[in-house]
Amino acid sequence: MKVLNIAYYTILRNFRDYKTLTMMLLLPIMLILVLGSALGGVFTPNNISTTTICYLNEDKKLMSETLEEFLRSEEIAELIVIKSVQSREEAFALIKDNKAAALIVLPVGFSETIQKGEKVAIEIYNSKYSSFRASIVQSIMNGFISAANAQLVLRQLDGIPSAYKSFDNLQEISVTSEGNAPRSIDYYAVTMLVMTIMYGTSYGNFSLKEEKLQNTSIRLASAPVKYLEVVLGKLLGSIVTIFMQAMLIIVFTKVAFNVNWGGNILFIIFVCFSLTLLAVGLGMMVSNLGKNPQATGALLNFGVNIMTFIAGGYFPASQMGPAIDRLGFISPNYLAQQAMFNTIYGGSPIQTTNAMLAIWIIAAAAFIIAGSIERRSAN
Amino acid sequence: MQRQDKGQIILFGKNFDGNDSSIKKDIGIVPQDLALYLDLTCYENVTFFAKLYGLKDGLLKSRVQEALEFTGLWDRRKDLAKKLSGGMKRRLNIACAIVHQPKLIIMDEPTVGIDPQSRNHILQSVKELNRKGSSIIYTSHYMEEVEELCSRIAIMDHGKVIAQGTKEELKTFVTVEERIEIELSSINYTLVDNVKQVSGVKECTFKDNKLMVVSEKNSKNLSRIIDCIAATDVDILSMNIEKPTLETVFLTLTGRTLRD
Repeated sequence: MKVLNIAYYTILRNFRDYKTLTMMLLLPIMLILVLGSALGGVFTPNNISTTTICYLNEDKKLMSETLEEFLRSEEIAELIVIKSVQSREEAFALIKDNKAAALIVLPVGFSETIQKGEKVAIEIYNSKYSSFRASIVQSIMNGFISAANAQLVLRQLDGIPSAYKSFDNLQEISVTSEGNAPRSIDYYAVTMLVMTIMYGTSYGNFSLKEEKLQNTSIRLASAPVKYLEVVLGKLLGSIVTIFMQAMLIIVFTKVAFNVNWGGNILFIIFVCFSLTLLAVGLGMMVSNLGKNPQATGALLNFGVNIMTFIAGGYFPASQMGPAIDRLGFISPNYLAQQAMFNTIYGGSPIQTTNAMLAIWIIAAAAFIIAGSIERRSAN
Repeated sequence: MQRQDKGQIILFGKNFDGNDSSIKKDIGIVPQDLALYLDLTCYENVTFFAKLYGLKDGLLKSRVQEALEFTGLWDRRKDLAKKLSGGMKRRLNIACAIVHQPKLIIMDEPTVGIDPQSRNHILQSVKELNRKGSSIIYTSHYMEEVEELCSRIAIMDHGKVIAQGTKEELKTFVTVEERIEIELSSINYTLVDNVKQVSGVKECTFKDNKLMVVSEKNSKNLSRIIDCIAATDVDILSMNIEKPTLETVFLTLTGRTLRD
């Protein structure tokens, strides 16, 4: 009961701290609106220009002719432009200069090996910085290989040689990104929600230190209440405060901006709760490592901004170059964003699970470190 | 709360190690620095601390009301603590400490920097709490407060108790002689000589119509001095017996060197 009493009054006081509340609620909502409007173009899918790929034919037999015919067909030509090269080196130089996105190599003996019914590989070299265009090449080659395998099976059954032939038997379906990819406001609603929760580190930072600052720690120490009860009450109060703020942001953005929070809102709430634990634990840990809560508070605020930036909170990290994109992995914001985006847009469940595990591991580590320092200082 | 360096703390007949909840529940602390949540109302502040002492339901409500009424803050119960004046904050500081009706109240300079009305209210409250049965350890640099309130006094200097006892006992530490100033209708040398003959009188002088008598400590000769005067045809207009104050005792014992 005493834990609940401490938690209740902590929450009450947190919600009366209008300065912090403004930062925790109004700021993210303003940022969602401003960034969502200003950077809308970044998230609008554009027409995809043709992709140049290098083609090195070392085989020069029947199957290579079939592949060439396929690659130069009218349908494929809308997506890719074939540039024949004489060597791998020539192709790599073009890829390095961003003049080509990938290299397709038909190795020597490709046709003969296929005709013998043995396995053989078409070599594809991608530029790691044009992953999207490389994926187009891979998709096209997968299409060809499927067709080639089908023809081989037919030939083995009937003995009738068959060449690649295009049939107009596909129904054209227009594909839309709506609901499958985030609009800018959807994107920023997630990243700013995550940022807000991470700003909750300040509650973890001040929750116990403020008792010393305002002398109420003397009263708490002289009251018939265990120190652990005080710590738990303060922690619970901080966690509930941040969690309620996160829920307010979700509800407000859904109602006011029609943000897409996906079909599994319970899991989104679970991510929020997990990140809240991490934020409070991190705040307490940093607070206990330092002596001056003002200084540790400033450090945490700065840290949250950096974490938000490298996780692509202000601008998608994938568009800020590979260095920033890679740095994102060290940010707790990135983990929570990944878990949320995967949940909302049907991404990889394995990635989501890994992200959640990482969040819980970091949170547990932060609490263990904070607790051990607290216990040492109490003794 | 500091742990003791050595020795034992015996409270209510029990050895107190600083953690015993059954002892803590009977102690109330009024720290020198305000220990309040400025963003909670008076009512919420007192309620919060009352709940830590296990008060609940009807008893909680009545005790909170009692504490706020006792400190004269019931009418301001809905105001945030930060909106109160310095004196009111001090009174709220006391309300938070007494809401659970402790047997022992430790007050550390509760009247520092407040207006005379609040100060007077606090001093009366301390007397009232004592009258209701609470023992009070009252720390102060204001000797007139100590003299008014305390039945037993300990003077501490540099963290050590250098003297303790009742105020009368403490005064005997510094008093070496007693001074009496008597205003008379007239003075003559015969009267002065007669007073000088009284046992214990060390010195008797006069200026205008005032007679100044210096006696040895505890000579208990006041009635005999008055008898001497009454034997002459002189009227006593006023009399002032100069006694040492606690201020004198304090300064004598601790010295006049400025403290940090």
